[in-house]
Amino acid sequence: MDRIIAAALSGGCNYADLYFENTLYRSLTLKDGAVASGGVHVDYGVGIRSLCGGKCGYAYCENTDFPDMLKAAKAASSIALYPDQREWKGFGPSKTSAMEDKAAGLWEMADNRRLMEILELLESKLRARDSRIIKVIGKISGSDSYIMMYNSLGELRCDSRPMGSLNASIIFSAGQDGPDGASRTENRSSGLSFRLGPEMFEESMVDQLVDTLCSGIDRCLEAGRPKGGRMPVVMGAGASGILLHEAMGHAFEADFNRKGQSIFCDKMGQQVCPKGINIVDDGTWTDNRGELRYDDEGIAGQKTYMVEDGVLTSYLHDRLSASYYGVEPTGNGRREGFRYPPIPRMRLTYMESGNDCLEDMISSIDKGIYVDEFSNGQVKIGEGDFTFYVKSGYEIENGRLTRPIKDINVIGNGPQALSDIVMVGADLKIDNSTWTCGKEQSVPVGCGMPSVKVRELTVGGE
Amino acid sequence: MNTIGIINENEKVLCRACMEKAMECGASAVRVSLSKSIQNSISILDGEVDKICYNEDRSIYLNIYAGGRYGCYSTNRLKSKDLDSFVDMAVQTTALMAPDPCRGLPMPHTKATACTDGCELELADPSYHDISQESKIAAALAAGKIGQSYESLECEYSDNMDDNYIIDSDGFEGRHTESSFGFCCEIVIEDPEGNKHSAYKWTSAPFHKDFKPGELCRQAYEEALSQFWPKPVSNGKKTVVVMAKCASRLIGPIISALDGNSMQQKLSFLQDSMGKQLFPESFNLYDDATRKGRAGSRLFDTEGVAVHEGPIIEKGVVKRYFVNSYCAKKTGMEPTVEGPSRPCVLPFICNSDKKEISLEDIMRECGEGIVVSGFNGGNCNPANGDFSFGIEGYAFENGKITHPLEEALMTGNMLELWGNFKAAGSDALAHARWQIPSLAFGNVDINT
Repeated sequence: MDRIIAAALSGGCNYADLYFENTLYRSLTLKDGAVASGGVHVDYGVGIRSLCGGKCGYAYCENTDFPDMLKAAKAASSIALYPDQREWKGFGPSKTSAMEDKAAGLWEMADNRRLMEILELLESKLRARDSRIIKVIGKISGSDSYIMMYNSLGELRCDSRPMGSLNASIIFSAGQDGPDGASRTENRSSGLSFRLGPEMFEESMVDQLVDTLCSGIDRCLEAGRPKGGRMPVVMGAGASGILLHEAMGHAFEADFNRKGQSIFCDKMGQQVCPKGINIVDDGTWTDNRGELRYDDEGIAGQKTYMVEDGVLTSYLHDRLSASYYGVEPTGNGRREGFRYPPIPRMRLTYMESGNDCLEDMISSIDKGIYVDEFSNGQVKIGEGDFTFYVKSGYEIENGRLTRPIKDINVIGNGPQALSDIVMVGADLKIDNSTWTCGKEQSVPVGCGMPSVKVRELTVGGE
Repeated sequence: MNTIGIINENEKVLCRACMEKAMECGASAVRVSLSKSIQNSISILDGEVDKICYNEDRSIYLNIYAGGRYGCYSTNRLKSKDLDSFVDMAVQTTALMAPDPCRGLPMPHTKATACTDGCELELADPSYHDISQESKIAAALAAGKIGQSYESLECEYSDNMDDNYIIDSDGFEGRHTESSFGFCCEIVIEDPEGNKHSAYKWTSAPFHKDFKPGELCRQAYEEALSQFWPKPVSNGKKTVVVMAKCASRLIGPIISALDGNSMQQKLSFLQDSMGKQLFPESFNLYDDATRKGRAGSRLFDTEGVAVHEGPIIEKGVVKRYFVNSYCAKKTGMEPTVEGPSRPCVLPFICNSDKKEISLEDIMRECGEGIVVSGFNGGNCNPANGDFSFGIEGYAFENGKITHPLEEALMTGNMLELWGNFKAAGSDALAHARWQIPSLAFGNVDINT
């Protein structure tokens, strides 16, 4: 490895690292009443990164034969032909210590019959719970990743990263007996995902998923769209963390700030939301999808306060941005796999609990919406304009929840929405759905939130 | 003779060995696909080289059918010893699945023929391997500079060579070789009040000679500049013109709804729509699937089934579903292909036979409304077609842009939206795989 590192440093690069990965993905799908398809996918290789000041050369090879790795290292080191004229502080050894390696079972060795039985149990419980369900799709996915990282500082880190998910979609129809008197077909999806091996499955997990999916059927069949426009929005505890992820989290990622692209790039140390609000990105939450013993640059997992008492206190850093800002890396250097160089990414992002209660938030609103299920979101980093898609919620009229709503987009501006958070509940909930963030590369993340009231957002509607 | 692609004869032999090994292990039918690519990218940040990436990929995919059971597998560990044990494991794993009589290779008569060279559609640039890294970097640096001031200008030049080879145990053999050269840029500028505005542009071409990134950064700058001092518009129903660069967002849900798998799962708002007039007579969607030298063209889909040019929606009538071999057996529907290759919308404007229709023509015809230059998030419910999208763009009056929009949303139902279809331009982006021009619709709910 030292010889490859030497090649990656050639020409004048000041830092190089190697990222070896051996991942096995496994999946089983239940569809139309049978677990009749599945697969195994193997991904193996090494990514080699050379840094020359703040500039990056990257190459990988899909084997670990020395000549091929050497060729990739030389390709990466070609960045030295374009030296960085700016002054960089360079990289020091990482200072934090990592959590214990977890003793998870292997997805590769998981009993196929048992996994099939879980999917079959899921379907039977769903159909027993509600006869309006006409289709069920269930999927189990699991992966074992073995990572070895080595860098020009001589740091060697090894990590094993399990990940498992149970996801389900149901399609249901009210037929002629539906609440609106006409045939209506709708769908709902949900999932549970953890950084665990196949031992994660217990019947209670199946029950939880069944409950989540079925408890929303009536609401979904009755739901319509509100009259759109600007209005107060109460975001339920849990999945509403998508607001933090899109409206703030991305804009706090240090690469966007280092490049002058983020709307928050000149707001470090400033009050960005009301006092009392703390926003965290956490790699230490046990078994969460965002849990990281080490990030993908070998920095130990840690808990990072981005906002403390309403003040922006830290961006999310990889080694490169930490060097640029002269701070310690925060363990947010992540990548989809060996084919990608690391960039700052979120892990588990949440807001800490406040002191308010959900009932008070709702009762304080004459006309607005309450939302608690989401499917996707997006942000424009420069302007800070974010959106998220609401799958389920209610209208609020005269302080009470009234008509169910669904299939509406909500749009706002990150800094404005942050400063418009006027109530924070004492009910932080971490949502364990299968969240994946797609900034250039896909990585597993988590999100959480207490109930919050936002003074005003723009709501799509009729 | 394909002298451009990157799959060699030894690798073809490897694919065949995989297929034979799987059959020896007990598979009743097998499809083996080898996918190889070269990816090269150069990032330019604020006028300087910031990142260089060079990569070569190769993976083998196995679709294994054994005793009425099915599994899908892939690996990038291609040494013979590794592959042998992988294929063995794959066949054994397949045997553990529940039987599904609908699984199998497509019927032989549906598969493409005369497609073994890979260059039949002339999508691979013969000069690809001769272009030096130095000249790519020089071109990227030249394209990534503009004279105006900005907060951030990040550009990326990229080129790819993709080579895909498919064989199956019924004797099918196909190859598809394709190159592309791309350039994208994202600029952030500040208005005098310190508010940031950004714009993103991209272009690509299969051939280096057709690759023209020179004006892109300037166009992005001008687009960002045009967003200064946005204003809200009133809530309500408005005419909406969607620019060609983002109009495929409104075709995607239709394509998804015409997918046989969506229909089989009752997740299609176009369920049982074949032959029915569900769209206005002026709406024509066509699959220009095999046009030589154009991005998106292909001779066969991932099952090896031949693709065909033809109408998807003609004069508002649904003419084609996308039904793969599995879905066809499962539903009894006629097998077609798994999806469109190069869908295009034919131009139309009221009270005119014009075939050359620009965005300006459409805005002039519509008079006033909203012109959408980009979407920000949102989604469409596949079961009923209800959608809600974040939009960016401008208000226009008398056919002319008046001001940029503050954050806004458009909300509705796909069938109702297309029921109010007013116009389609002839301005689809030449480099895009989906040839979707500027589109106009009346009575769209806008919220700001």
